[in-house]
Amino acid sequence: MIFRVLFISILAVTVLGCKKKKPDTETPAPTTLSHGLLVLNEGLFNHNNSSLSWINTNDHTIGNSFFEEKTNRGLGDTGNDLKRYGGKIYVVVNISSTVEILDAITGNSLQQISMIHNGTPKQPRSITFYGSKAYVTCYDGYVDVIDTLSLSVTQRIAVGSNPEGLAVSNGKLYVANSGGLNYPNVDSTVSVVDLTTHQEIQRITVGNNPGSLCVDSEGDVYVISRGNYSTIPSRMHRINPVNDTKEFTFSFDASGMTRMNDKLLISYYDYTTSTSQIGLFDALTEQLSIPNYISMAGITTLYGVTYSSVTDKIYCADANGFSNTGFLHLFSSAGVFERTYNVGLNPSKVLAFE
Amino acid sequence: MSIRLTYCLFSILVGSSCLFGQGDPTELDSVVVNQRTSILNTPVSIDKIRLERRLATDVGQLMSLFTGVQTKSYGGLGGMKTVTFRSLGAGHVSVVSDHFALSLTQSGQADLGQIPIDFINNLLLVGYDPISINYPIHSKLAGQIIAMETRHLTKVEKFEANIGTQLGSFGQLDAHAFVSRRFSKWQVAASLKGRRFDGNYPFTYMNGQTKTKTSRTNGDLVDAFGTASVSYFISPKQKLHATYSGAYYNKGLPGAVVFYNETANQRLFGNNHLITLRHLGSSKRFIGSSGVSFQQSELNYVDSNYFNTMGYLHSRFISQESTGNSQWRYHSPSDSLFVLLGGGVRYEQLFSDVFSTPPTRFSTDLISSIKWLWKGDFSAQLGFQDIQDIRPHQTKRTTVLLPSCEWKIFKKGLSFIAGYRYTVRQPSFNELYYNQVGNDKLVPEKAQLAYTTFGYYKEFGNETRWSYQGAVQPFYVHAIDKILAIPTKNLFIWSIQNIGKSDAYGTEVRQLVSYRKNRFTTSFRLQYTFQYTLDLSDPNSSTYRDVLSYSPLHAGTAELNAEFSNWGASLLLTYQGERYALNQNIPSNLLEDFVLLDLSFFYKLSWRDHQLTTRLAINNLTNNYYSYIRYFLMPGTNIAFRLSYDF
Repeated sequence: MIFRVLFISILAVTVLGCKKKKPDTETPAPTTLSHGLLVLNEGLFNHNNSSLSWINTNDHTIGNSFFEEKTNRGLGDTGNDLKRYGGKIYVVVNISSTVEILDAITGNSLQQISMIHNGTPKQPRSITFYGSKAYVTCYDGYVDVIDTLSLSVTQRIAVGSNPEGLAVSNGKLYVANSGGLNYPNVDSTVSVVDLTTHQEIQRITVGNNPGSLCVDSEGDVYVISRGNYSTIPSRMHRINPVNDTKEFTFSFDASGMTRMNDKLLISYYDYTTSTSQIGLFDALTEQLSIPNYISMAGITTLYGVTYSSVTDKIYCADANGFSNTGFLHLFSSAGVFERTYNVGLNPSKVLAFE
Repeated sequence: MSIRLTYCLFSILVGSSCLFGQGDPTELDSVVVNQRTSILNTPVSIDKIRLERRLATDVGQLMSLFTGVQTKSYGGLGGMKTVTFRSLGAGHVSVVSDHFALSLTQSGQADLGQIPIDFINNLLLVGYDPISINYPIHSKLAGQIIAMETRHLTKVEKFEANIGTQLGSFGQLDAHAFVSRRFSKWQVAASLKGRRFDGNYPFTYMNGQTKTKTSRTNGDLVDAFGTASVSYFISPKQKLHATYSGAYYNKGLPGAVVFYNETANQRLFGNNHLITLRHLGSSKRFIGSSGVSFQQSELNYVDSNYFNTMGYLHSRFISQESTGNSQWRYHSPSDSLFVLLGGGVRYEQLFSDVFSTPPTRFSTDLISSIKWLWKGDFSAQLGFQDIQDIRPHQTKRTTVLLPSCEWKIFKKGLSFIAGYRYTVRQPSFNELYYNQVGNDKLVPEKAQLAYTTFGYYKEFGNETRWSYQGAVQPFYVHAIDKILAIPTKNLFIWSIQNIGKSDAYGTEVRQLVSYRKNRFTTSFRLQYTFQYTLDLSDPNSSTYRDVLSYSPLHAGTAELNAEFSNWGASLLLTYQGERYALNQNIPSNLLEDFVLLDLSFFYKLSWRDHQLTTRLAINNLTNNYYSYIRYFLMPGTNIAFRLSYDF
């Protein structure tokens, strides 16, 4: 009896041990970037699994190793921002402390800028552009100025602590100083930088833990203070770019903003209930005209909202619980759901190509 | 609370010493079922001879020699090492050294990389040992015990001493000394150990399709351990044993390899103190053990690249734990019935600037066990735990009943064991309270474990030259309310949740063949673990029914030893199968399997009561670059040389 059971056990080990791996259905990266979407997947901290996905919008095929195929190397750890400016694509990688610059036509690598200063990683977070310069917020309390021709850091501008979002209006750069690493004594200011002199000229107090910044079609600057994720709510504030004062605080919850023509898409993720919503804010009338503009059915963890004027579509990035591969949900600009793509780990930013 | 605790601890010791004042003696620690069939028994042990062959520098490096154990090593020497057992996390494992559990007050899991092996006589993996008095009650109620018995427990004739040193690759240098002296009814012993390690070992990793060579940085280590013990033999069957142990450590935290960013400047330093007093006594029908202990651990974490206003981060934690424990065992005149009763208390506190009120926990553990030698060996254990978490705004009380049972049959070399256990693990203070991560709504993680063992033992040939031992142990584990850290606010702000549910099926196989002739001995030992662990947390999740992260389907070791006269050699092959770095079973999360080959030699020179032993080990002979945890790269080929003098 004992030997029979022993034999069955060994047989079970052998059979169960032959578990098949799931097939890899990767689609090769294209030689030219057209009719598609480039998606930045942040990946997970210390896993070096940040990636770029390429979605072919003609045949809806997806490849999640775009960067690796183009460069034969990994993107790095925790990609935070993805933007196109002129003929180049800029990818900001936070923990690896790099800015990767790709050709906007081929996707090939043009330069990798190491964001390490005196042996200390600067932890870049977000990027924006003005003239021939790119401006990158670095968590060490600076905005780095990158010359878009030489692709090198030419200057460092001191701002507040742990800067995150940034935007340009009226010849000035607005930088959200989060102070997140001083929690619970976070920062509450926005730095104003003169783009001629590259000097900080003012700090505007807005609210606890400023993060996202956005400029509307009239040049007004909006900033979201994220509070403390519990008792202090997250709020959107409007800054007048002429006199650099905070003019108004809106009473609705907000954690992200995306400009869509004269409107702003206001996203909000409730950490207590794990629910999210996207509202439509009319920047001309300054009213939240439609609080639930996009249905959140089927979205598990809303992690980023992008509007593309190229395709006139809204893209909602779904982090799917943060530790599983995420989804990109596609909506018309009227907020009607169209389709979903399975992309990489923690998708957040999207670029659309005609 | 402290008066109540002091009273409890005092009562435990005084009560224990009075109980054994008279009556005919029985042997202390007399429960040994069958020494020869050690591979078939639970607990499974690694004796001093096997420990010394590996030239390991800490207990974590030896855990792969046990079946069912998966090591999580965050780097080489000095790197943090924790273990999971049959899919149960490190929080289910209690580490016991010389009958006292090491405090896990802060993190809930022991770093086995900080426990040296030099003075260990026996290393045991104990799952269920209901009538033993050698482990604290709360450890017996934990999922698994890693137990160490050191030389401080060994009774010496007059005098024993040992000094030694070990040199190795990557700037490894350590030295140790032990001395034990008997004075009539007294025995005093002291041990001291120091280690240093540069830790800048080279390694190669794949960055996409690009092979990158670099060296580990910030992996330095300096630490020191010391223990002093006093034993007083009150009578042939009563003993008092007191110890003080202290440790200091200061080490870099190299962290994971991050592409393009090789800077790492975090450090850990701190110290640990442990004071214990244990009374052990026996009478005609009883044997009992009572002990009290106090532990204090200070841990400092420093990040000099932290971008806050101060420009650095320094977090300091001091944890304190006081325990009292008493267990008594009765055995019938025919030794066919054993009954054990016991009780224990624990009082834990954690002090830090990050807590406005120090987290405090008061626990009471009760146990009753029975073992009945009728138609085999039937045993059952019922544990009761009452835990009061004293929180800033309320006191949360949790009570649990923990039943276990096991039935063994031994007949003509064949053996059969079937068992069931129910265990819980309490959330640690970090999980409950730490900054934004902690969640004070957590409930205990619960697990049910069922297992069987089929074993066979036989000796062959004249003068029992050949012997064979084999065991196959299928098991099943069902865990609910698993405590997991998940990102809930954003990728940088994680929190702890009771969301996990898992099933684990598997089989452990242990085989040992040995041969002995005159002064020649050889043995071949094969250990294999098949484990299939499924995530059952959320049917709507992408990971539903996927294999849990860091749970290889296959893992094992093969060990070949040969000794002749004063010479010996040992070859160890370690295999760790493919596993996933995250719960989602997709190719990008898959980690490659690896095979390690370690070779060691020794030569012993003896005269009178003196013995000089030299050992040489070449580890990772094939220079594999591998990692247990993704991007925590382990060293390539490395060498260690050890010189040890016993007198």
